[in-house]
Amino acid sequence: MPVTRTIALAALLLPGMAFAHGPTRQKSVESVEVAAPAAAVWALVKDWGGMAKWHPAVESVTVNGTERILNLKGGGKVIEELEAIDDANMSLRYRMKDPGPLPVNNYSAQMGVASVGSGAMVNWKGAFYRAYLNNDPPPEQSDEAAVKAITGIYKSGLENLKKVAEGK
Amino acid sequence: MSADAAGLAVVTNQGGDSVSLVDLQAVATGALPAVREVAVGRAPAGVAVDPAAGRAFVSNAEGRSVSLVDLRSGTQTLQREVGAGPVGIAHDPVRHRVYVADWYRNSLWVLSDDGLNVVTEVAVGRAPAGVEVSADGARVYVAERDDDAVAVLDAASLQVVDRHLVGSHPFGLRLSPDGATLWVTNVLSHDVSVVDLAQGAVVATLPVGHRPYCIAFAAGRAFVSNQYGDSVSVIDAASRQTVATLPLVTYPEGIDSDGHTVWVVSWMDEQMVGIDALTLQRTATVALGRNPRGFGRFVLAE
Repeated sequence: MPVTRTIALAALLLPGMAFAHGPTRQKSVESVEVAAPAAAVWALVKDWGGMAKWHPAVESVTVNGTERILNLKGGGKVIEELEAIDDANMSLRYRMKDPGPLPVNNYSAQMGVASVGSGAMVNWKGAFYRAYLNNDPPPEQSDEAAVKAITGIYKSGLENLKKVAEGK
Repeated sequence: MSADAAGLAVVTNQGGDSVSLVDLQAVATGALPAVREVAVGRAPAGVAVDPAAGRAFVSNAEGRSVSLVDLRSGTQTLQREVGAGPVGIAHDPVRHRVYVADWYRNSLWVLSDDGLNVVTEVAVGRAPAGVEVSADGARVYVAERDDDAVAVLDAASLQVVDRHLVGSHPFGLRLSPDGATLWVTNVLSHDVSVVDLAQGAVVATLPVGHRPYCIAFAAGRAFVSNQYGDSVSVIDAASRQTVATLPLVTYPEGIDSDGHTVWVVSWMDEQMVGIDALTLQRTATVALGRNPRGFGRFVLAE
């Protein structure tokens, strides 16, 4: 259907249409136990400009108000907006304004820390759509590609967050 | 499963290619098992129950099909290919039709409710989402998400006879119980438009939580699921004042009511939460399948 394809292409090119998406939202949910006090782990997680301290894929972070630019190792930038932060519940919520090289669309996520005994449990939950906005996506812009990319980011990030928090 | 299909919730599990049939009486009494998962098409999103016939219609967004589920036997009895991206779905027991919004074809499919045969396809605005039918079957309302509008179709002629401009990206909609107003969630302007159908105009715009998804009515109140707000806004339907914001669920989506209990689907936590419409207390939590949505009317009252 040429008309629909034209619209989909326009949506990819126009930032004003960045909220267009396919019909099926995807999720990634990962968690890690950390042998460090929850408050200390939360201090790392809530540091909006500090992601390079614990995420192995992030080279540096530029903070501009509630917005942060993640400069990725190997090039590429992701722009994210902090939407809510709750110190009492040790949780924060953000969304991507620009996914950069990541094959996702309309991404939002939550990170939370819970106290477990003398340690902590960190949860990372993301909701997003695939990059391709129409039916029949190419493999690199499919639901599977989106879930794989985000799950990979969560796993590698939490693994290293654990190391940093435990001082290893 | 209750034999007469009353007191059931039918929730689409988009990541599980299934619907969860939840026996609400069994949930209330603690009887197990209360939930049965029934296979439908690929990535089901929308649902419309038909209480009189004890069945439900389900839109399979990725399967590009519509399923008919018999609620007494708990089985899918029919599945037919429909369009390119069926999402919003509504049933009209008066004309024996099922209306299905097609996200990609910018159209509304009209199907027969018994055989799911295509009667016709009607062009509507861009990215049509939620669908509602008036109780007398005379009018069909379609949220045209990317046109920031709601189309009003005359069911007899199947022509668009009116169009209301609402907020930014309207998605879910629900008629008030008296049928006088149509309430529409605007996902990007984080508010609800109230359309007075006699006046043919938007008469109120009510701020709610972040990224509202859909609406249910119970006990003189409107309950709005705020997807990214992790909350449910409770609005007094007469005064249109927000009386509470309940921080109960993560990524709440589908919302419906049996009149006493409001049932909210938590997409992230894969469960359905029951809220007493009067006391606003959480009364039940039911596990669902993967990535549940429940977009539409999914509860059959007892």
